[in-house]
Amino acid sequence: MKPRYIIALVFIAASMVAVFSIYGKTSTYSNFTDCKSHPGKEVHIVGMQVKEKGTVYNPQENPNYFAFYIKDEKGDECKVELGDAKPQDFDKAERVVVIGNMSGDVFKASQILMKCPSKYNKEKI
Amino acid sequence: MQNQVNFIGEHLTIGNIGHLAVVLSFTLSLLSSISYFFATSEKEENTTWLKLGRYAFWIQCLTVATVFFSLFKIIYSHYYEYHYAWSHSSNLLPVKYMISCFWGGQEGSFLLWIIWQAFLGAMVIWKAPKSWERPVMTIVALAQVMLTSMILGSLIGGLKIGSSPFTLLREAMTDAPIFHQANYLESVKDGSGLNPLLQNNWMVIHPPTLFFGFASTLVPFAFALAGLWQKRFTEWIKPALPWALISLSVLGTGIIMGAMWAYESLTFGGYWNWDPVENASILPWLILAAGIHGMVIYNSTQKTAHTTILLIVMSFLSVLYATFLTRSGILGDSSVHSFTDLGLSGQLLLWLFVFIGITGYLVIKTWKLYASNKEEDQLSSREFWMFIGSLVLLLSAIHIVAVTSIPVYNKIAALFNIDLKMAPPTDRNEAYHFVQIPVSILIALGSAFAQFFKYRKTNSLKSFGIKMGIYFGVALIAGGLLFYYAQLEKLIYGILLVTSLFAVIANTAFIFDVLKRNLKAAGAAISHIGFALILIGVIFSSVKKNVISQNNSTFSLGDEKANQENVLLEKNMPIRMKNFKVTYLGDSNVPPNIFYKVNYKKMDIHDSVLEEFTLSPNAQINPQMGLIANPDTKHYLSYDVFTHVTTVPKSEIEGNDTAGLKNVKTLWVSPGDTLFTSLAYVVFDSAEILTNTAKNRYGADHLLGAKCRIFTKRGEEFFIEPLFGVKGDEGVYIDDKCKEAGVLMGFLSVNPSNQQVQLAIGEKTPERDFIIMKAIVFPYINILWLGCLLLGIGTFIAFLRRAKLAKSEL
Repeated sequence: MKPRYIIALVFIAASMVAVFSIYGKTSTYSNFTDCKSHPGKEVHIVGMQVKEKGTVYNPQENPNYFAFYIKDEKGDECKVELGDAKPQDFDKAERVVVIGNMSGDVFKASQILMKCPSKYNKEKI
Repeated sequence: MQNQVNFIGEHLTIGNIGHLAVVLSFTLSLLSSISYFFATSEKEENTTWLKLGRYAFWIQCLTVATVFFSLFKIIYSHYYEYHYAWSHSSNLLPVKYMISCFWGGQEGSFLLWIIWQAFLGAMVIWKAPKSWERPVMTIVALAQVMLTSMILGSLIGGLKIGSSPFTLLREAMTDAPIFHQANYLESVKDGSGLNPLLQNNWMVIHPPTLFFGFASTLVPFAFALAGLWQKRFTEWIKPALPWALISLSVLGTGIIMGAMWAYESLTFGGYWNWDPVENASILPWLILAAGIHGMVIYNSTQKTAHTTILLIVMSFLSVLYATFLTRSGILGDSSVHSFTDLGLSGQLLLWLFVFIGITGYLVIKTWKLYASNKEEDQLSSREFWMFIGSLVLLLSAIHIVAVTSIPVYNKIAALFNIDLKMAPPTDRNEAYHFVQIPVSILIALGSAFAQFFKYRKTNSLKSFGIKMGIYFGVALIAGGLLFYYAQLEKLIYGILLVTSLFAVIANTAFIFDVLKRNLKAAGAAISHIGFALILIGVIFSSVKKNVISQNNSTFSLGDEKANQENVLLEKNMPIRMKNFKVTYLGDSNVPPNIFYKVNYKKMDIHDSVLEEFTLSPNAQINPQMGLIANPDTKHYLSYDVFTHVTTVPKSEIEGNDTAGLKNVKTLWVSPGDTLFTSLAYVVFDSAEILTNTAKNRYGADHLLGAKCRIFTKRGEEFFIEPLFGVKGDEGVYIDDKCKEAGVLMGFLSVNPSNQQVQLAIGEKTPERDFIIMKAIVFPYINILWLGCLLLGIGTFIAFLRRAKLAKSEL
């Protein structure tokens, strides 16, 4: 066999490994109900902030603890805890993506992404 | 039917000129493309179509310039009746950042791209070999049709084509009741301002450089397509090579500037985050780099014609795909960047398919018509290993695109009613490094030895083996020692370090030994050294990145996720962070920024101060985005100390000084008089006329400061200086506060006849002044920047050499 065919085969195999390796590393979009039945599994949950319940952040006690409530797309509400400082634009955000896993009745987030309402929807004069 | 309102004070002419110029540039690009298309089949001596195409393109360049100046005039003159100016600029915006407004919004960044493409088209007409002008310009002008259509903002058959930067505010927000009033502009006095993250010197130069890089991938693409179309399958490579190299060089520089911007002014603590926007910029670079290797191989050996064509067309298509990803809103939930969807995703997708269609048609139709050199592949030939190198670069790109496209899979599955729910990897670094580190090792290895082979076949394999053995041996010993002493944790980092060192040593030796220090021919070797140094810099600065603000004082909640990376620093209370003693000294307000002074004292093992420096990370309170923190970094030769504030006391954010204020008194006082609050007393020392800087800051004609000292019952002493000034007929009042003493003071008036001043004083509950901050040490990050510099220089040298070679052939 010519070297160029071997190269082609190796390249295709390597590409397959590279592409399919993603499968084991991706996370899933979930909701609190599904998430509770798989504690420990890392998921993404998209939700809306429950502003009435407020947020907890007392930097003088612990600058690395922030807690808030969100309602997932099915309407279930859950407390979320983040082991980091409160992101400054958090209060502006309505939609929040939380990444982490359930631990008892609390969702422990390792990261949160804020989706600020688009300027184009919100702007009012 | 709504009554027609005659709006007052609008400047409609400039917008109409701009919009007309957009329409004209679209039409002229189309005319130019069609003319050039017909020109390809006219006889060489007949130049009617050629001239038409050329003139249309030249005039198109003028209309593009008109669009630019119209939009600049609108932003510069603060015509807030235009939506673009209103959303991306404001009265206080410095002129240098007005240019940044162009990339604050999607329409403006398309315009930037259009400008570069017009420039590149003009350069092709001027510089490229005349035999290539017709087919190449057909494609360049077609790409210009595509881009100008994105800012057309016209309705064709009820369909909105593009989004115009000249849309009026009242057209963009038709529902707002204010636009029923003819004099609505009287209440729109200021714009909503430029995103503070863009108000940064890096952001003045990074986008134009990056967009030149994106735009310039078009030229080699157009040459490749022209080659297929005109059945000049291999002739295109030589004239296209300098264009491909300048594109690689500028695109690489643009990416690096983006990384530097992220490092200097964002707070994620690093220079690369595998964010989709970053991935979108590196994709075309990787594929183009692979394609250039193919072009060079072809130039010397007439091999790999097919792969080279595929790689070059893919580099441009990847720019289009990346544009679609980042601008269609499809990445909404997977990126921290907030992408505003202008409803252009359909149009972007359509253009992507048009270009894939044209390319696919030409490639498939001609695939069998051109022959590559079929001679036996030699394992000891340079081209064999360069070709492997291209494939490895391509592999890297395939993996990046596969991960970045996860949201696309969900959308495609949704078309078949499947709810895929696939989310991006939780640990991005781990997911990317799994493939990218082995790929980097292979690239480092290949770039070290491939050049020492000869094209076609290397006869003196023994001397090759000896040389490689020595270089690799040195790298192994040096890398092994570094790996051991720096404690790089994982073996794979050690392998990457050794192979990168091997690449640095071998390529340096190549310049001295083989090229005999002829730097003009050393473009590739210098680029390879640069790339390897980048890898070394990345290993040290990321593996050994050290968050020194580890919070040990507060008890842990037993939560393994809590990163404990934020530390509370009370004013004047030093905290030990590794070998630094860190003290927060207080803030100073320079609207719109608040600077927090953080003093670092580097201590030795005997606890005496080696040296000290003060960093001033700042925060900007932005009405739209809340607090935007800007880091500050101390640069040493061998490491950087990076600091940013994550949180400041709530009262600073809300800026509401008067809340909870009590016992407010207004008094006329003379120098030396004392004012009392329940917890402190204040001595008014003097009223002083302030300098130009302070005057300019507040826009006052005259400004006075009332210098006072506060003495608390606890025995502390503070300074406070409220300001009073005049601007025209109006008074300017700048209050000052001292949080620790719980005192807020205002300066209301002055009586020149008896030297008395009128002061207001109020008291609040005293509070400790504190910040929450994060501090990170990045070791040896300068190796990374040095590597970037060499990579840019190396690719530029290669460009100069190939441009000269291409010219000498004419």
